[in-house]
Amino acid sequence: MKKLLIGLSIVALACSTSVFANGASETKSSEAQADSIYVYNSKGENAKQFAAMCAAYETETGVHVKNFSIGSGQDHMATLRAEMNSKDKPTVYSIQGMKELPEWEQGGFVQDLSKVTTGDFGKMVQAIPEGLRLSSDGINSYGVPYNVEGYGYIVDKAMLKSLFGTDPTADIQAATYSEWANFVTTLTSWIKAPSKMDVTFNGKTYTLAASKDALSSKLNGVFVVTGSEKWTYGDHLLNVAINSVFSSSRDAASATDAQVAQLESSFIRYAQVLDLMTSNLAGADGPAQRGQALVSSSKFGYDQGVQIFAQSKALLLKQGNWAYGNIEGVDSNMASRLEFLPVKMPYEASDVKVNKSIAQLNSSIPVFVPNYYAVNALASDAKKQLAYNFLYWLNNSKTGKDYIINKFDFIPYNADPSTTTVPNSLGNSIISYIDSDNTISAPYNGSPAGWSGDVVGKKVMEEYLTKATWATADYKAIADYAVQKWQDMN
Amino acid sequence: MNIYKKWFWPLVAPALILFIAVILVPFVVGFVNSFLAWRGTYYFNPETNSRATNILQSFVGLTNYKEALQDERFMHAFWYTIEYTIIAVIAINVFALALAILLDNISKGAGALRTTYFLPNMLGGLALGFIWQFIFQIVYTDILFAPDSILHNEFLRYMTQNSNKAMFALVILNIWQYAGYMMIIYTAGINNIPVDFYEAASLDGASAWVKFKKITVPMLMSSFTVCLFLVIANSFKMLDQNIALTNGDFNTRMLALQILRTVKDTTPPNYGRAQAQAVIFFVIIAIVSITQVRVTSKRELEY
Amino acid sequence: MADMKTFSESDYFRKKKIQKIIIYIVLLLIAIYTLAPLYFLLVNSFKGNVEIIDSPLTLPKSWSFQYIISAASEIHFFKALGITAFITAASVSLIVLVSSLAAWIMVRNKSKASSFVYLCFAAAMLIPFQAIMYPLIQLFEDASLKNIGGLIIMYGGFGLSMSAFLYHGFAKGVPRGVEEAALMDGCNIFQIYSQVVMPLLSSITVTVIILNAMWIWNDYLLPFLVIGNTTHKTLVLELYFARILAGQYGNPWELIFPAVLITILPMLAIFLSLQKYIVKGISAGAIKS
Repeated sequence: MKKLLIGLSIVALACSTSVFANGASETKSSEAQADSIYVYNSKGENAKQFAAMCAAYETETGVHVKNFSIGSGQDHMATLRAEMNSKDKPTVYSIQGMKELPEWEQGGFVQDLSKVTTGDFGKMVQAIPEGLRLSSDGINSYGVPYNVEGYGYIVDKAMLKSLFGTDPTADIQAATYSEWANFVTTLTSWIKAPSKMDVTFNGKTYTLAASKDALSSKLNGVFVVTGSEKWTYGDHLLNVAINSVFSSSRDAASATDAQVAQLESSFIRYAQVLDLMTSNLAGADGPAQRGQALVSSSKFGYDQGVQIFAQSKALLLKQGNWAYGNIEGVDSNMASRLEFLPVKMPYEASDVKVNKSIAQLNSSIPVFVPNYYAVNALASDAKKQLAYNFLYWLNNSKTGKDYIINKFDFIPYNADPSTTTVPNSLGNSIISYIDSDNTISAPYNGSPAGWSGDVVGKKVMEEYLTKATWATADYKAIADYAVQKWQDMN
Repeated sequence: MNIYKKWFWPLVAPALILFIAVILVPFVVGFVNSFLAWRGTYYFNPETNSRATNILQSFVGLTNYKEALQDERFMHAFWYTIEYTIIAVIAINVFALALAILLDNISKGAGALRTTYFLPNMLGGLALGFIWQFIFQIVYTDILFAPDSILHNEFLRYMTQNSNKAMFALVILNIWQYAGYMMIIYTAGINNIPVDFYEAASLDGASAWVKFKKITVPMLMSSFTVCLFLVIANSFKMLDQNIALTNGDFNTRMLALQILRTVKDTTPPNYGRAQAQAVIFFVIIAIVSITQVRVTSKRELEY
Repeated sequence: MADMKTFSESDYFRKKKIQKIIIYIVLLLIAIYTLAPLYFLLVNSFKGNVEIIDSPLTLPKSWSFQYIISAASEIHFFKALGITAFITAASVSLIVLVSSLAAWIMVRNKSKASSFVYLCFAAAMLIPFQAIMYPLIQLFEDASLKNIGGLIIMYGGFGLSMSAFLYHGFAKGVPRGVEEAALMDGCNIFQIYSQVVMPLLSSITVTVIILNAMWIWNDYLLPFLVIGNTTHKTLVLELYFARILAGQYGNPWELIFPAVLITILPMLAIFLSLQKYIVKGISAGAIKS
């Protein structure tokens, strides 16, 4: 007994000395130093590179940057709130778009950057394109974009080559929805029994190979749908449909019930597209169907979806450029051959309320700003100025830009699309969509909190992805529910 | 004796100070916040629709409580937690008692088996969640209870994807984690029952069942009090396993998770309402636990 | 007659034997079931991401330690182990000292104040963490105690009530005569406490140590809220942040499995070497409380 207690105390003592030996390296509080700022970064994936960038800034300018990175998962807001309640508040922090803005705006934590009109930083803020601005009323401007991201159907160019013997990308991008849907069903039968089959894209005929080759013989379905990830069809696919009625998250956020009701027919298109996708599914061990397995996170979770695609079992994966690293982890050769195809919807003229044609909508991919750097309104003027200098440096200096493009693997929001390339195939594909002006935005961010993923996405996951056959009535039911809930939650 | 009286306050003081600083003051502050339009980082003034300059401006009376009780999700979580607790309390205790009795019947290897059953209790919740998700989604669904298995059972497949099934999945996970602990408490209770009670009963020709009913159960009442208390408290407050298995999807949010998620369901985050839910949560736990301890303590035998 | 008797007796023993065999089979099956998740954790700690997703249940293609080694460096294993051990040891010592003192003196000095304090501690056991979480963190922030020291104080407060409860039950059993004798010999109150009372309470002390050490070691939420993403993280926090930093999208399974494995190993080792005390300690705590 006594021996046990003595043993435990020795262990404890040994451990505590090791802690105190380490204890000396505590970082200095940023408030204590006049020449320092505190940057809170909610993109945890680049934590190490971010810290290196802050160190580089200190070397160049002598201003100390305390930095803190956390992943954008569950608890990032809880942590940021705790930091805001502390004595050492962040000078610069991140806001994930319109969803997170209201609390910081209402609480008076966020500096309106449109009021900064002088200096390089002022010019930089004024130059942020309207579509990328974080604004609650169209005049104010609450942040500097981290980067831009985009999503669509990811496809392996080598797979297209192996199917068609040529590169049909440009015509697929311009194809109509009915051409696209026809291609999907044709490809499904080709996978079952390959023979020369004709499909048309943009009015031109393409012929599928007479037999499978080494690459295409791995295919077992057209789409991989990660049924357990509500955000892929709740947030992102819904967003494509919302683009037919609202062109920005601000429009969506200020929508009346009547305007929301206009989404009904587009949501029916959404359900049709989801039906097409989930009727032509690939799986890990052969074609998959809707059912309980599809919403299982061990079978159709994010990682499993990436793996199915990266093992060439599916032609298309609806995801964003953030999936690049995951795909690279499975097959680095394939990663260099990726590009985006647009998500098309069977719109009719009456569905579209924005100033775009159906053809334009169906050849565009959503490009949006996931994160903004905001400046703390409660900081002293001197600190604010330091924050402005830092943000200007990050987005305009040679070193800063190098970090953004080459270390963070970001697409800079202020890059000239005709001259910029990034070391990442999906990033370059997005840049070319920007260059050709084939982009739509992320108005779903203006929908009520939780509506897209936790309400509509959840309903689709729990009741529809598990249901083997869908009828037209189901499309209507999904659309009714989505519209109704948006109005209720507003 | 005077010395104890003289030293009462000095010796109780450290504990009392800790209690006041860590439990009492935060509890009172939280209680006050449940009547305010608290947003986590600031107090909201509903009159001006902006940040309150004075805390009194954000007083909203019983609004947070009203909203909590009208919140479908909160009420669903409430009933779900009650149902889960009833099932878990019965299942875990029956299982633990059965293990204790079975182990009482063997001698060789009993120690090793006891250690094995207790083992899961030593491991943290975060890690186990991942593993159990795999077990329910792969092992149960595709191997043990798959259509081509002799144990084929549709109920035990895809358990994390249905409100009712997920409740049983949680029960299974918690049996795995806690039954070993409760087993040790029951074993201690069983070892405390004088052997001559059973010998006398055997001479009277009592069957095993009669012995269990007339001797074991009444003699174990104090063990029941402890085990019921622990399992009820654990079930009511369960959070980690709830997050790990379903993350509240498929209508499986329990009260603790609901309180945590309330600030994510609302923008700006309604911390006042979450705090009101937490106060209601406390009242429920207090009523249930006090009632349980009173009822089972009354039945404890003194010998 | 004699023959009949032997027959029925051997029948009785055979029946007993079969019964025993069945009990063993049932118990072994349950044991296998209990250990299965750990098997699962073990085999996947030696696999890469692709292999884990493709074949999660089979033995690894090769028993290479590369994933375990990189996980250990990723979560700063030895440093985190030291911090976790320090926090656990300091918190448990605080709890043991404070709760045993309070419980003992409450038993010895029966008064209204004494029963009121006791009632407070009992009520504290019913308060769910959610009810005090946010104000607690704010309070400690304002007191400049949002650090490891503050964390230890918080654990002291949370562990206190249950432990005082256990000590209270056992202190009743300490014979007053022994203490009085010590007093006659000229011992002061602290000598009585340390030399007479605590040795008599050693079995429940083991229980208190074990119960508190277990939850403090494995706790995630409180360290997350208090020390968060600083350079001094506990094992569970390291695990949590390793998972988070690997990205919002996708799970780094080849990191999670070996990291979980090595974080539970110390606890496993302590448990296996001290299991006799642990089992005894929990039994002791249960009987008297």
